Amino acid sequence: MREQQGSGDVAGRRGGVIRSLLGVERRLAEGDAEGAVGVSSGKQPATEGGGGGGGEERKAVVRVVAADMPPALQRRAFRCARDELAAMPHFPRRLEPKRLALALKKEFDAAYGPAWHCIVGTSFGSYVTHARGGFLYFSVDKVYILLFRTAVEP
Amino acid sequence: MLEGKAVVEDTDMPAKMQAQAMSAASRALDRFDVLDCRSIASHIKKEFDAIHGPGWQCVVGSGFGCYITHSKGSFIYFRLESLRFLVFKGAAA
Repeated sequence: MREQQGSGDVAGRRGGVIRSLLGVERRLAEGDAEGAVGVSSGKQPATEGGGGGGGEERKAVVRVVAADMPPALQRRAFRCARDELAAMPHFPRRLEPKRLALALKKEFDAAYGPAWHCIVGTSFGSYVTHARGGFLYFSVDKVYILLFRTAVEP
Repeated sequence: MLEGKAVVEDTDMPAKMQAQAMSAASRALDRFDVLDCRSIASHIKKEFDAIHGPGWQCVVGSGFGCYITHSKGSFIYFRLESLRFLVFKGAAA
């Protein structure tokens, strides 16, 4: 498995960087995140899920595990993630984490400026330093998605 | 537990720093259970922040993909035991 990496000369760093330990359950101050239904503990499954879902087309369940991000950006992340997941093969169901990570990172880099990072998977833990207002850890069905931003000098 | 040898899958990092990342991972696996990915990631990230300045990120797990932007000369992705490790600096100090 080879990671796709974009190499960037990112020099300097502004203030406002916050440390965020994944797994810390925090409730959203705003309750209007589209598609967000409560806050789960975010415990990752130990193995990759291989079960095929039912044949019905139904809206994917989005759960916010932890967030420090304006609601509008969260909604955009949810929509982008749902759209990409819906476009992936369903029978047999196969998760393409890098494709989803790429789509999210590119969209957010383009819309809100660099530098965003995205981790997608069924079994991972992380410890990151992110810019204020640039952190979202959520799940869509059984896929966990970490999207965060690091501050860079303009 | 006795760790096997780490295998570098991809890197943009000086050799000395690579060795530091892999030894930090070994020490983390000595200290934490293999299922406690968050604590392992935390250990490695904090060590790199302490040695090489702030702004490091670490992801540990057995099932993930990612897409990131990293600073030049500060990225490594390697395997150790059943886990994969991603260590990178997202913003230069």
